[in-house]
Amino acid sequence: MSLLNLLLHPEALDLVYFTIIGVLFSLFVSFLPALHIYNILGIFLMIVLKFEAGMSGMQLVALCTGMVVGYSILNTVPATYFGPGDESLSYYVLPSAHWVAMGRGYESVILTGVGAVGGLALLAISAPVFLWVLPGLKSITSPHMFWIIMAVISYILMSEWPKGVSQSKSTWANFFEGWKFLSVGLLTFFLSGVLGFIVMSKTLVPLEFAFQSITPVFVGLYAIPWLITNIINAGTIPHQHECRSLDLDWDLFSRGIFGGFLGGFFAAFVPIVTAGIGGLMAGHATAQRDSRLFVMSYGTCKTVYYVGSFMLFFIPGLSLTRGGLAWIVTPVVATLTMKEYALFVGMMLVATGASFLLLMPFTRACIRLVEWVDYHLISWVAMFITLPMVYYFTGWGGIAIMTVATGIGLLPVLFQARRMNLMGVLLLPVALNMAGYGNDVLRLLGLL
Amino acid sequence: MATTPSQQSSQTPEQALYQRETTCPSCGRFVGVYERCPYCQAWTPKRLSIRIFKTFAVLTSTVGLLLLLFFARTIRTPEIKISEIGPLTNFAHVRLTGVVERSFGLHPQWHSLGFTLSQPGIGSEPLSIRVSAYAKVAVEIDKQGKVPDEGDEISVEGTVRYQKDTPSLLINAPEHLQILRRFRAPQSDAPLAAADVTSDMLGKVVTVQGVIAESVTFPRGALIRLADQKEGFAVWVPARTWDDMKTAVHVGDEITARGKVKTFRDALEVEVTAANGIKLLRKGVQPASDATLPSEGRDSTTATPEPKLPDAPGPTQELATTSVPVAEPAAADASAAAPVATEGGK
Amino acid sequence: MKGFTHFISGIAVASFFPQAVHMASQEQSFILCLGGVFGILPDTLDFKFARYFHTSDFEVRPDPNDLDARIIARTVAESMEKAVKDGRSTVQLHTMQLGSNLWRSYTLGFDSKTNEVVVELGPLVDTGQVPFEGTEPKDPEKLSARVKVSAPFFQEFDKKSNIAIMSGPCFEFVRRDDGRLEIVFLPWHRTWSHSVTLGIVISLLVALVSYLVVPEGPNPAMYTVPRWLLYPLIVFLGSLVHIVEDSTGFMGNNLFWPFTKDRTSGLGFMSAAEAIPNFFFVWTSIVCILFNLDRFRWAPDQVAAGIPHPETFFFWFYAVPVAVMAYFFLKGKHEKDARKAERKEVDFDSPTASERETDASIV
Repeated sequence: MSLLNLLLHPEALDLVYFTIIGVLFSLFVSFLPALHIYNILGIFLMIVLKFEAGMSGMQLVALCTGMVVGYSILNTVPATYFGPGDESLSYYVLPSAHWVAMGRGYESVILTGVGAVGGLALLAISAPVFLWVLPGLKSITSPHMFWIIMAVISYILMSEWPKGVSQSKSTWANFFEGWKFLSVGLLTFFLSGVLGFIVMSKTLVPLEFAFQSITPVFVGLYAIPWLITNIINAGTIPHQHECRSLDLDWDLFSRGIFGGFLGGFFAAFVPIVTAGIGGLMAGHATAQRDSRLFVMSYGTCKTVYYVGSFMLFFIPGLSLTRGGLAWIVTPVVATLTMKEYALFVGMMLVATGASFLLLMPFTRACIRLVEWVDYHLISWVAMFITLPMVYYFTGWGGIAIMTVATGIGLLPVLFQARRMNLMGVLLLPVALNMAGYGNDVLRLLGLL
Repeated sequence: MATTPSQQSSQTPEQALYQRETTCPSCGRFVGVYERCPYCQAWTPKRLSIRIFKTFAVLTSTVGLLLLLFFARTIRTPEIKISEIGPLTNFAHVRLTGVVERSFGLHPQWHSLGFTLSQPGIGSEPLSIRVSAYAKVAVEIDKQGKVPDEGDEISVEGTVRYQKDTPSLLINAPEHLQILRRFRAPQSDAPLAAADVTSDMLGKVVTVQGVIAESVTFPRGALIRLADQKEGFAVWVPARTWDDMKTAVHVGDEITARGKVKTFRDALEVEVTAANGIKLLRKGVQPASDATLPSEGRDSTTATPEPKLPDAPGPTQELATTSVPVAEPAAADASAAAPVATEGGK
Repeated sequence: MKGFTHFISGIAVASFFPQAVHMASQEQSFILCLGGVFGILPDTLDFKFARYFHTSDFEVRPDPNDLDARIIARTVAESMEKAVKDGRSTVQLHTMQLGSNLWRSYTLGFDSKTNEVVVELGPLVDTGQVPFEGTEPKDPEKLSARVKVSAPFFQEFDKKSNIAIMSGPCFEFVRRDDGRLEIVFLPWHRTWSHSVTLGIVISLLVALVSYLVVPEGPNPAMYTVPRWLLYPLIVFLGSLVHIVEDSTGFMGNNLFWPFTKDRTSGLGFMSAAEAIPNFFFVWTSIVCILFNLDRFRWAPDQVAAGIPHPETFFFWFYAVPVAVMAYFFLKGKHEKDARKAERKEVDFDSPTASERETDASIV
């Protein structure tokens, strides 16, 4: 109640307004298919810099909160129907594509939305606990982050199991068939890692857009391969059924939220780790099997990752800046007290409600669109928007990076490896740099 | 139980294509993405577009990556000015050349390296940026004897970090730091006359000699003007240094002031940061001109010309300038006016 | 247990060595990851290597275009007859993929009361094993089959396997001294790779290398274990914790291969595929890791503890969650027992515990 009083105090009403504006803006941005969260953050930054002077610090925070909450809930819709923009989304989209193929895309999106709302509610409930727990957790884990990331890498690489169903009489033929998939996964990780080292050690894009230097990488790794897949796909999207109820019980709901929250929180807390990776690990830790559980849990995981990493910034005394959005607001938020933290939680809840209300009409609109316009055409349009944008912002250097990244991004798609291996682009350089071996690799590559 | 996908008796062209693409032409079983049937080992070629993209993926991810690597190896890190760094250059890998304004050396506990690099600003005040290196790189730099000292001219390469409205540069490798010229303190540190201080000396530590024509204190420090043939040469002493000074100086005294040459509003000045930076040569020498010199907007409307200097002995009181009421300057004004405040924003 | 459970347990074991924690925080060493890698390694060896090189005497490759349960049942029975005669025989059953996300399922059961192999063709399923209603084959002649075997047989636990997605299972039939056949599920799994012997051999090799190449680290007086010995110990304990965790399930391990020939049964406390047992081990590992990282932090007199009150930490972060997990685990078990009591028959409609444990998607 005191949170409500604080939020509905006449002095703070402008924050509600800015939060809603942020949600509406995220609705627009979410509609751009196949864009990665880092690309979105770039757009956020451009907008924020435009309005920074005319807004108070907390108004800017409100705008960003609305944007990130709205984006985390609403971007599921275009990701489901038009293709995911980042690793966190592609982890969800593969199972959800099966739902779309069964005409149950709407149900899948709403399940994800329910998971997201549950996750945000749990995040709000956990807010006081974070004050007590996180400073200790931070002090324990800070000197160990590099090996925690390396452990994540080891697990990602070791937990991919052979997919081959070869039934040849020759054991070696079966072995090579099984290992073909694993090798592509390992190769993808390695090549992505090398690309990461190149991009992080040299500025190949114009200096004035250096903050967006990772954009062509993610457009290439995730967006373009997905659009290409859409374009060459021979299948059609069947009629989508708009369900009136969800096949969900409290047991499934609580298990999904709990598992997703764990994964999302892990991803938010540990640098570079994304919701896809966090979700995979949490899913394995809680032995998830049911596809409904997976889809809903993913909604929780992704939202807790996006919003939770922003929330960490507001915890008084923690000094933990995770995620690009937190970096955007650092200049304008001079002091962080309990009041700002409480306001953030309040704004987060307002944005959650507004976003969930928009989710159903937004999903229906997307369904109408894919039924009305051939999704191949939508993918072509997205391609024609994305490529000039990359060129405009990052020049020929960016195009070169994007082309190579596209090749790497297509490997898991065309050779059936896990897309998560593409995260090697950040995981490998960051883990090795944190451990102090990054320069040895750069010397080896001749980049020093 | 899920419902079965409805089976259509007549296949659309897309469905026929799908069927052809995913079924083994030999045994008729589903083979999906396999190009060799896992059951009968028959060759099941895919359509051209898939083969093209597979070839594209393999080539660009290997040969393309190698080409990108060789291209990246040839790229020279762009050399920029501190003034060009902003939020949009965050994460850029750049080279900066300048003079080390302040060196903190290796942190005794964490072994990280930190120093500030300064470049002449577009206007008058030099711009500076904080440069740092994490322990592993810093220790290597130390081993190679490249830890910069104050006054050294260096060229440094690193990643721009723009946080909390403040840019900084992170050195990623010991190779990225080059000492262009070590600063050597002059053997004969002969004091210069105020008129001999030129803009070539910006950023360098010099000793200037002269007679105090005016002395004014501000909340952020004290301004001493040495008499010269023009409006006076400014010696700026930040408040902290001023408070620590043991030597009392007064208008009319002949002094030497040792500090770094800087500019304030296009005029050269010396900033004294050491408590023993001002030495009294002779007491009570008559200034060259009796005219009161303007304080040149160190916030003259709010400045407080003090009747005496701190710890000043009684006899100098008669030389004090007129006292005006004290008013605390507004923060924005103060930061625009006082050199110390300007530094804080760098 | 899930691969993740073994992985994090291995890291937890490694974190009990103060020197390893110091090496991580002070020397940027990845030594703690070693525990995780060797924690998951036994399953890696099985599912990425051993399975491919295990040859079967018989293979069942059902043709989805001409399905007949009788052919499948006969082939399995034939393999069992071979075991009666020769002492051992194996049969590999393959799956039938019909689409990118579509499979034909069938079940294989061993009815020990009637000495029959029972095969039933099932519906189409997706990769999540969700069946499509009404897709079972229509021909009643071919839909199910029972084929008698000449010798009696027994199986340690459940009696029916659902063969649907990915790679199908393999069975070994072993003639025991009393003339009965033992049915061994996945004979290539949890044998040499899950043995203490292999752990010891690998550790000895690692010890040899580390003894030769690992120099003495700083402050050796602080530690009881020399640095070179740390590596083999972490490797051994990482793989040992995997074996111990697997032993709590039904399938067990072949602990002292090659001195012991067969896999022993597990303790049967919990099914390795269940959520709560997996999470129990994961959570225990996380709590141990955090506690160890904190108590073995470098310069404890200068750096404040992240866990200032261990008793409060263990109460809120271990005792309470474990109590909640125990409540739900026991509740679920009671409900399951109640359902079993109501049916009073062999459950032929759900996957077996052993099958759930060894499904590659679980591991």
